[in-house]
Amino acid sequence: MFLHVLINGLVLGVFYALAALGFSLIYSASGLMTFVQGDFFMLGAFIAYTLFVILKLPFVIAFAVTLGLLFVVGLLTHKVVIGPLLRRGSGAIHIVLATIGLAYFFENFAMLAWGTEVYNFPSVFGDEAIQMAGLSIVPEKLWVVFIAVICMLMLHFFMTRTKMGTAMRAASQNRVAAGVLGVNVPMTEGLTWAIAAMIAAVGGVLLAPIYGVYAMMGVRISLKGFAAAVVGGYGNMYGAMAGGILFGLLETFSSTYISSEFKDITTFAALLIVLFYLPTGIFKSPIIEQA
Amino acid sequence: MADLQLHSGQKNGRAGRAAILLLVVALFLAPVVLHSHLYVIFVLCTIGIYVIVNSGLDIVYGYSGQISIGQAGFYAIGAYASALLSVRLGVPVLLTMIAGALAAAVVGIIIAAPATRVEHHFLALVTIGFGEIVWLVFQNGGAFTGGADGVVAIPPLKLGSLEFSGYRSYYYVILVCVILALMVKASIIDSRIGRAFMAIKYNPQASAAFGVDLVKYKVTAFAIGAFYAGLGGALYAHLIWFVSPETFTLNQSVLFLTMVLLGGAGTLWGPVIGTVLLIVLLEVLQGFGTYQMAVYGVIIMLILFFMPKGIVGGIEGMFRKLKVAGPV
Amino acid sequence: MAMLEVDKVVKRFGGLVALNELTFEVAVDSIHGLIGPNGSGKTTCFNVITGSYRAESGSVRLCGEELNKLRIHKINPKGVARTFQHISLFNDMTVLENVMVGLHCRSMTGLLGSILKTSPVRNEERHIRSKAKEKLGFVLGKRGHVDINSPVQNLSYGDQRLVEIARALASEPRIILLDEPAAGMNATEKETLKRIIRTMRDDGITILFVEHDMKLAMSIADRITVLDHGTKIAEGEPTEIQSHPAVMEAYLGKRRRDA
Repeated sequence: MFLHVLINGLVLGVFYALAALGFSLIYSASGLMTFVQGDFFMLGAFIAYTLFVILKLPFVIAFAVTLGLLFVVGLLTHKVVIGPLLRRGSGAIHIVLATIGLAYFFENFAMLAWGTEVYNFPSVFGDEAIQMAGLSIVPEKLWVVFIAVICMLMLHFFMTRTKMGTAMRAASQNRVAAGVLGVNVPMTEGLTWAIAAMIAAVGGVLLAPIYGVYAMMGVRISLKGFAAAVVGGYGNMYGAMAGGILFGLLETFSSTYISSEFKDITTFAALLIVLFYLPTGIFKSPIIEQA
Repeated sequence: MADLQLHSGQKNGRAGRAAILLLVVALFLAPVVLHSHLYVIFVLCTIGIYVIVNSGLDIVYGYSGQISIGQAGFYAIGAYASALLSVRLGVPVLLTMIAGALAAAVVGIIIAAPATRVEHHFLALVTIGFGEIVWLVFQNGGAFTGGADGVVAIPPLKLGSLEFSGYRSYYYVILVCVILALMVKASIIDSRIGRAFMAIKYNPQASAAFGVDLVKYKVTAFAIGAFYAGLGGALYAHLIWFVSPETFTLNQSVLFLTMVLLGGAGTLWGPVIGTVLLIVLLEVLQGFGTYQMAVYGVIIMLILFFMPKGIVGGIEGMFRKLKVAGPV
Repeated sequence: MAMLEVDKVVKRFGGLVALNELTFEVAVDSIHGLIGPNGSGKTTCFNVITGSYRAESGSVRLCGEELNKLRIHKINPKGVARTFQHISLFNDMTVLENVMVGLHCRSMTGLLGSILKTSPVRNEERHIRSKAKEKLGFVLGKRGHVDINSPVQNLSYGDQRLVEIARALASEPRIILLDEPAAGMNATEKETLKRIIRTMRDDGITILFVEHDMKLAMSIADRITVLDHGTKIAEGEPTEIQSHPAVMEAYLGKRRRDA
């Protein structure tokens, strides 16, 4: 029983970690909050659904195309909305509201394009519990955790070992200096949004078989992922991931052992406690002042 | 704030005061003129309630510079407190309304005290978290709060032998509250306290260097904003005689903030104009059916693009340009 | 008793010692200069005095009363006012309103008073307004071209610096800390500044200033303290300081290093 709760907690945690990762990337790159990550999750899930279930394309192709499309969506979001607003000197609050407006737009768009029902995304890796080492485990869940971890590792590799990744990290620490050294800062910012959207797509595709696909599925994720990112340490990629997993575990355990109605209160209360006493997050990240 | 026309009325003088008087008279006559259009009167009632809530939010955000995306939480507390006290305990509605506003203010103080330690994004998140927790508490409050079904059969306001159970009569109650709320706000912003709020917004370091206790004033601003929201919530509860959690979500908080930004934060009339425009807009959007949310989302973005300082701010900006360009 | 005593103040930022047991006194009704090369700790010293930074050890006393344990907003009421190295006015508020904020700690209207606007409240407001106008008149002089009801950021840089001084004066201080008051000013504005500083001193206000403009500093200071890397290296009257070897070394570097 405990193991099941643990696994469910990890699965949920991994989703929150992917969501948190997206927020964290964007915050470290530009010091901005965003509320549209959850909707990128949702779009990823829907596009994958369309390709995999409706058009019956092989899963791997559906996955790759979904990631590609969301990459473009993220890039466009930055180019069309965020970048221009920043150039007009908009403050943080304006950007937050703009992303909320975008979220409403995408949610409505999804409802118009796909409808308002909850769609069933068939399990890719097998949703029948199998026996492993004397315990019954659902392969889908293990695969989900596995793939998510691989993605996080790949992101880590990209950020630390490639030239582009290093340029992005440089730009996020000091825009002016990076610019002077030849880094195309607006492009790296756009790339950050694109990657964040792509990460959300991964989460959406992995989430779909377990929780179903519906237009409003992103709303809770946005909030919780954002909260997880802050709890873990907002500008800190690894803190965000840890925060996400912590949140997933916290929510699942309090849902099982306390009551499912109060699971959300527990997580938000934890959020408030962290914000009041550890504003830089558990893993201590620098607070970026909006220029 | 160098709010040329709409701040303390200094520049206004007679013209401005006459215009306001005319407006007040028109508003008092509205239910008579619109006698059969009950729905319009109802919409005017909701506009009045929102104007109160948004004026409070403006004191928190527009004047003391604190981001709050949790105003719906205080709105909910006022509504539920008034509803529960009158329904479950039979307390007279006038008292429950006051209690609702005060309850919201007290919670505002409790939340604000630690909230003053954080800024910008973190404060936004704290206020969002607060709003979510309030919603969750009412949603999961079981029989006490009515859970998802909410509280029904909320009694109307009774003053002596007068019962305000119709929109036309209740409208006057709300109108009086709006006038009082705006007068109090006008008084506050043109005072030592108002200057302290604005100093904190524009330069917290310098304001502390001149004796402004940041924590005390930030908490005060929050408490005022919460009181206004609580009052609005209580008025709301006794307008539609029903409250449920789905009214008090993050979307509602976003709506409040959008109204303030649209009209112009940090001004007396900005939240009023923003409220009127956005409520009219939402009524118009009903006609868009399934496209409502998308259009709303696009409009939010357009506002942010073209009028980041809101309508009042935009007008002021034009005046300022004219003033600087002219003979000095 | 001295107006201000800085007594063995130590301020560290991580491993860096910004102020190294700094000790000096500012005499009543004097104009005291604090100079030193970049990074010597001058503004840090100001920040410790005004409570923005907490010193690791040592104490700061105003007429014998300890300041260093007080929270920032409690310092101004004691009689310490300051201007800032980078202009720290309240943009978008009018010139007059900026100076009125300076009178915050010399007034007491609270929330209830602000709402009810009773007679004493209105009187206090009138008093605040006229005092602020008075201080503005003093620093801006007879020049009529400044509209005190316009947003403060519309003023010229030099005028904004003067408004900062007016704001500080409005709080009726016993001592004013001026942080690079002449920065960015032209020669005429600097003369005005010198006149203002001397008049303030004559009116019974002690001045402690930080300056990079040597000529200006030497010409108005009664006494100068020189800092280098957080340590006091010289102190005395301007003529003594001008020819002090340690001072020249601090600014120009040891001769041996140039070789």
